[in-house]
Amino acid sequence: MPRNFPSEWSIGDLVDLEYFLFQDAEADGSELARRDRAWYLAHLSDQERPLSRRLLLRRWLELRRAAARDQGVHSPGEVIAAVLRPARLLLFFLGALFGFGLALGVLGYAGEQPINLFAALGLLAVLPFLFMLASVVLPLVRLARRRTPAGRLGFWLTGALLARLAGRAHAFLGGRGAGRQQLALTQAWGVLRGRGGLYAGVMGWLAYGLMQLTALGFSLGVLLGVLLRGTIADLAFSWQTTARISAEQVHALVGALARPWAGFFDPPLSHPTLEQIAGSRVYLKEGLAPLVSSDLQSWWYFLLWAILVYAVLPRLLLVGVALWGGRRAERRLGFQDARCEALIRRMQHPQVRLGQEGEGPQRETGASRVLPETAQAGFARLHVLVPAELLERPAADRLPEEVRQEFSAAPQAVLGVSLDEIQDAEALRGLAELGEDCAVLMLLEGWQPCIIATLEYLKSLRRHLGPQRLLVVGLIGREAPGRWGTPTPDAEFEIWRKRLAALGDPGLLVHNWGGAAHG
Amino acid sequence: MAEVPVFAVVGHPNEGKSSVVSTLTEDDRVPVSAVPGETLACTPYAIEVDGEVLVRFIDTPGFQMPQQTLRWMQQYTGPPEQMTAEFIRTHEGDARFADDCELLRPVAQNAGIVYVVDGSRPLRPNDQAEMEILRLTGRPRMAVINPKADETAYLAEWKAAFAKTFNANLQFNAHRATFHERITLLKALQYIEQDWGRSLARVVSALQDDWRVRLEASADAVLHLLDRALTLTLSETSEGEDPAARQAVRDRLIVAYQGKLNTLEQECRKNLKARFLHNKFNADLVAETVAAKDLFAEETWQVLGLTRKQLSLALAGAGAAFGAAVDGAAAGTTFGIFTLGGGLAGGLAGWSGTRPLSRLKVDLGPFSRELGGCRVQVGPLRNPQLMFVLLDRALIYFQCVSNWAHARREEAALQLPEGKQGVTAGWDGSRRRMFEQFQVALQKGYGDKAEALKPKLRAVLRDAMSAELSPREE
Repeated sequence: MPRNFPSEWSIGDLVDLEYFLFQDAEADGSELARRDRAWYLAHLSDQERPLSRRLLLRRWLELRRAAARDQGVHSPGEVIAAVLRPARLLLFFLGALFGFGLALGVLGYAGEQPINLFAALGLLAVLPFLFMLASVVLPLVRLARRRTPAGRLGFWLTGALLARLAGRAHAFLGGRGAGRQQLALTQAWGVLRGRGGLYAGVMGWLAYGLMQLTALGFSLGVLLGVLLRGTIADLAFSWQTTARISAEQVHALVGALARPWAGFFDPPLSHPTLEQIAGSRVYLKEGLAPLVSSDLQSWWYFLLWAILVYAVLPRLLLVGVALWGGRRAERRLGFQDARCEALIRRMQHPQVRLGQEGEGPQRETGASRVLPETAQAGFARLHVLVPAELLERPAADRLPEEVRQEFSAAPQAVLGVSLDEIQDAEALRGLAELGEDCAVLMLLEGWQPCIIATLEYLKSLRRHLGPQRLLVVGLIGREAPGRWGTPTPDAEFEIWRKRLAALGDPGLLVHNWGGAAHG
Repeated sequence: MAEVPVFAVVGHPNEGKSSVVSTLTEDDRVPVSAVPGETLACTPYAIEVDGEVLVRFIDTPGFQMPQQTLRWMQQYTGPPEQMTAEFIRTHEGDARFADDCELLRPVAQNAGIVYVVDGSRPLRPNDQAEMEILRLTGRPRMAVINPKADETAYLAEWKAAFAKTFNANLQFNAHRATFHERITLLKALQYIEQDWGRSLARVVSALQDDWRVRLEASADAVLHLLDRALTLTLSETSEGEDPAARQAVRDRLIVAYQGKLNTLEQECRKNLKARFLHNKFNADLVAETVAAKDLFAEETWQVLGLTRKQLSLALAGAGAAFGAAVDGAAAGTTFGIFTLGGGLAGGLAGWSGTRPLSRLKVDLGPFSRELGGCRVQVGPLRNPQLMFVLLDRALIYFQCVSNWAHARREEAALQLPEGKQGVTAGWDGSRRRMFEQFQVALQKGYGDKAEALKPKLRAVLRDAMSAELSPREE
């Protein structure tokens, strides 16, 4: 394994991370713990200084990819990367083609009637400029509200279109018939696309970039069309109006529009002179006879400049912004969600085996120890919420100690709650003031069915905790002599896990008491 | 709606509501699942008598928002009789309350309430909220404790909670309820609302009638089996004079004879099962029960039927009867020697009688020119043990199907007490003798005697069947 591979996360890497996390969610917890711990000890912990969370996950991903490659499985990230490049080109050329077509259509001039200048200017320069303005303002609003610049159209672009392409490519690359892989791919892409989800920023900037690229193609197509028509044919523009607008006023307006490039070129190369403007005005009752050809042609340069400055350059700038935004969003990925948290803990958690040597499956336990810095960022302390009736269990005084054993984290407080938002209002309000390094542990009885009221309560917990903080749902079984919490039977745990997955909360970790955790 | 009593079977998700409905209405098409929240819509199941619906039970989804529902009801200030309908009107569009609205719909339409709880778990605030909701609806209500596990520690807690809120409560294990327990529940429902008493009383008496009819029909099916099995004879002609060929035919016939007996037994079982509306009950008998074992397995004959001693007596009786016939034919000149001898021989044979196929009549006739070979005949089986083994197997099977609660879809393991596991070994001598006489009459071809015995035998079987020896479950 190379020792100096990149620390960036491309879209393909994120897809792969999601894909593998989804596959792991289905696997046996203790098996995963063994594998990840072994990888960590062999490849990821022998550094001089501990790796950052980003880097640790990035390297884990490389290991996981290598393992998949050894089994002859294509990771979907490669597919996505392979699809993205041609998709960008395709969109760019489609835009260009459309723009070129529009320009040719607008400038269709056969010599009987000069082209209406205002129509040409409006369609080829002003309209793209207005669209450009919209694609600056709308994303700003969305960024302020949802941390992502793309809207519905953008998500359709990155979603339906790319997913379909990726699915085809995946099948083509030999993923045919591999239903589970296909499912994992779809799931990974789904998670990535989830609006307001973990990757909303990255995916939003990707979508935004694709849209800007298409628009840039369009503007360049228009420019090329106007240039080509003017070069190989004789174009005549005229203006006419019923309103009381004089040639001087039009000249002033055109001068104002041409200010950005008027410094480099003089009229008539930058824009027509007052005489040319007056000379290209058409009065319908007088016909076209008095018009001079050079006056009618003088508008062409101005139109070219207007398209270049008001349609092409801003789009170029926005493509740059999209690239920068995507980079920035990628750099801001914290990987703080529950599944990554569980993975980090699996890697940095020493495996303690209980029982006789040489016995079959061993029970994994979390040993109390000081966690490395990276994991401490996730949770070193726990704010524990317990249904009040469970605090009346005979062994309730053992609860803090058992929590410590279970999570290797100190319980900061243990609060009895009623699982009713209104009755627990005070307890919920207090959650906003928790320290940075404190996660919330909500203990629930796994033998109870997971009803909608429980889901609603967890949603309100999330509202009070903010989107970033880790929320662990600990499922406990019935009490046993001398122990406060016992594991929930697997079948019941599985049903809970599925129900809680429906919340789509990336910061939610479902943990079976005395068992494995799942994001 | 008013004259037909309707009961909404309500409760927390996964407490066994569908199982209770399934068992009460003997309908095993009611979907029952271990995953909570599988019932999404109210489904009515009726008990009909002569095409007339006498009572309806509505299977409902479980409470999903009990605390919130209760809070709304406590804050409600309108007319009390409108409360449930108003709740549904207010929350109908809210997906979170979809199940709660659905389950309260029949209650709003004046259904009675059967509240089902799993009594093997502790009481929780959600349960208290649910009970309070039901109390506020003001409908007649009964609580049913349907324990899903053998845990009784919480029963007192549940009963204390019910005392405050319900008109009646009783324990009803949907997975093991017998016919009599079903009747008990229906009877209890008579008392929670006076207006429905008559309708429910009709249901109860109709069901009891129906039960008697089923018992009669079942007893007939068993007698029919005995009739056919005890007189079963197979014969075939073995061509030529080769004794080896004759032996081969004989062996084949014995195998065919056993197969035929098995078929007869299967027919009887099918007949019994059909009486108890088991659409899905395919656990033809639980693998562990002796009755499920092969009819001719050594063990079957060891543990079912009569003990050695009883069998000796039976055979002695039968032998004496045959001997007496010979004596009778000799008009007393034999001084009852044959009676005595037959009895002794039979008594001795009793010690080997617990082996399957002992005393199977096998006739290898002499070579005859007309036939171009010789006639080989197998059957009938003279050993009374066969009859008692068949009886025991039929009765055990009956117990399983008749008390196999309709909510129970899995194959449970039944275990009968050690030693003799049948019913017949426990019968008194007079009952046994009646059946022995029946056998002798059949096998000697006294059809009228056998017919005359049938009403008494039917009564014996009816008693045995209604005694309900509920097998213990592992």
